[in-house]
Amino acid sequence: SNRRWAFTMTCDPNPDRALIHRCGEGDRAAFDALARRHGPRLLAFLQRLLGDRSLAEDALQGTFLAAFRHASGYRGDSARAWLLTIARNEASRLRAREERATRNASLMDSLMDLGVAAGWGARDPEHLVSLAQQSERLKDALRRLEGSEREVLLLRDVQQLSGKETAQALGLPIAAMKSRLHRARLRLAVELRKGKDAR
Amino acid sequence: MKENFYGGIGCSEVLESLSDYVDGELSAERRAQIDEHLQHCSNCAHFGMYFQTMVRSAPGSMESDGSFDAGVLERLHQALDSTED
Repeated sequence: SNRRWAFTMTCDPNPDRALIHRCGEGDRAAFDALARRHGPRLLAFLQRLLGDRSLAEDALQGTFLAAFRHASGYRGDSARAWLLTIARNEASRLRAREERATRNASLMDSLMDLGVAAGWGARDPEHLVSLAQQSERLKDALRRLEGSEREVLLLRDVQQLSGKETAQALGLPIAAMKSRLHRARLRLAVELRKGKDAR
Repeated sequence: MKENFYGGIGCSEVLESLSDYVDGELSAERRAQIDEHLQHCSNCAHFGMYFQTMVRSAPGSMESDGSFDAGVLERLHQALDSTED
């Protein structure tokens, strides 16, 4: 009844659980509600991750279809983390199809070389701090990173998943995720500075 | 670029630990070593400030509310229908 539904909405700390459960039973209204609740943020995430609107929409579609199909396997933890994990996997699949695998030579740089390129020892530290506060510069810098760098930054720093959740979403051990995250942040700092010189 | 040693550690070690430092994931002992280093090394202190500002600016700067028009939902429905056939 409506009353029981209202009661569930009020008392359940995770209202997505009921929606996902109903999706698992093939309930299209629940599917719509889930898509409306999480779609916009997932689309923004995918757009940033893939750097392309139409590819992001394809990935969003794949994400919700996969979520609908696998809803009965949902274990009741964070729905946002669950959906972000599916979205990330879907984006990886699409990107692998779309892109040739290219290995950025800068990945071979030593950490210290990367740090220097990122601004360690620079003579204009205050200016660098001001660059880091400029939203458009950060977005431009993010766009110039490799896909694997963008996805770890988006999950951990933008979506603010925990370290453990990020590692799980990426299918990596924590130490490997942290190493990738650190290098990605340094690369972001490099690109942020390059943006400054390019304009 | 010359590497300095303060707090018993060099700049390259500080650089290596910077993400863990910013994320609050270091042991108290390691954190104290880095704090000590940062007090004396302007290169690391300045870079650390830049790095931390960048990491903390990320959520507000790069999150956006991707517009979600009716067309997106409609295409989702079509896709769902086609997989159920």
